[in-house]
Amino acid sequence: MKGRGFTLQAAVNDIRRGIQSEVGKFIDAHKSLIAHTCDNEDAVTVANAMRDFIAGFIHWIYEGERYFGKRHEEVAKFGWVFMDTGGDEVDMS
Amino acid sequence: MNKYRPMAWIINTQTRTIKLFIKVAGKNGEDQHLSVYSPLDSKSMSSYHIQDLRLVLPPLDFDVRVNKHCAKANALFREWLKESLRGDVARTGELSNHRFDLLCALCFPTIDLPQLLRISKLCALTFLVGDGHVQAETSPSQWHSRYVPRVEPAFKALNRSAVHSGSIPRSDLLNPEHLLEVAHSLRTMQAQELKYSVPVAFGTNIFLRFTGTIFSSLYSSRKANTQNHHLGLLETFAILENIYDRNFSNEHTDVTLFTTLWIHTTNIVIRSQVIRWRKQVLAARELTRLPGPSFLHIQTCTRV
Repeated sequence: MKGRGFTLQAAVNDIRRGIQSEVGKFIDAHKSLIAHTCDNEDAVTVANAMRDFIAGFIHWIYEGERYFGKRHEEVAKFGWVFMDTGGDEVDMS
Repeated sequence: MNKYRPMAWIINTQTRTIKLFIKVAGKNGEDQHLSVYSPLDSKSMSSYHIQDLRLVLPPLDFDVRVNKHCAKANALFREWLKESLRGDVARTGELSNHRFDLLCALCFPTIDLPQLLRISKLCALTFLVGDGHVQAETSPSQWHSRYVPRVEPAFKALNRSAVHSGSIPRSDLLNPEHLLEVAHSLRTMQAQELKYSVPVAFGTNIFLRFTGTIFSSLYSSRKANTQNHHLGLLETFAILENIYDRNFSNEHTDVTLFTTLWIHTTNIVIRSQVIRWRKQVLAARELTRLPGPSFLHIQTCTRV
């Protein structure tokens, strides 16, 4: 982070952009594989299994307490997340 | 209580302020929308946010599906977890809330119940190892003679190079029950892999590779052997080639494309996990410091 002159927020944003970039590359590779092995059912199944895995994993992040604690439903509902990096959280009650 | 509902946050990096939109229940029950400002550096406000990662999914052009056996698998999984944790209700509840079974139900929407349960257990073990839940409950000398001969195959499968290059860090892996489960899963999968569906074989390899990478990381951190950081990638290639040999045609292009898919899949999943380490921002620093997509990100993450 410091090496690239990033703030913490910029570093987090960069990670998200990285994920988006990887999704784009995945889609390209997925299309290529399907086009190249369209007559091989196993190859198509595995390629689609990877797609299922990505989507399932990212949706799962919002479904339990592992990543967002007790407030995961709130996070899933509003879509925006504020992470505590040491200070006290805003008391909404 | 809870009359204030957060709606959205906007960060103004110029003025270094955060604008928080909230919905408030009015006197007559109507909703009122308010906004408040907070200095970005205020200790009363968290200092970074991540936009909803699900928004990156639409290009994949399909809806997420849940396995129809999810509910039954959940009940059986909780039962297994409780038994594995020797009836520790509190810990069972804590780990159940992580919903590893749901993860597998989402990731493998078409497999049958036995496969779903098995992959859920393997997934849970992977995360438990990674989280450090696999900790010393007995001394090495006590369980070594009883379990090591049975666990050895799992060690070898999980970290073959470590076995070849020196002693295995057994002192780091002191819960024989969990290791036996991994060993059992490994043996079963290896013996019966052809009986399982292709997605399960693929998923099994993902979780085993993650576990193997974590073990490699443990070993590497002790031995300071940076070459072991490449184990995950090399072993993954070996697995992919194995699958490829049995399932696919013999054209090199397929292997390359398949491997590319795997690397992108892994990078997406690993990168998305960075949001968990809100108090371990080193992960964010490390990820952004590394150049381009690389399987080495896994090693960086697991060492945090």
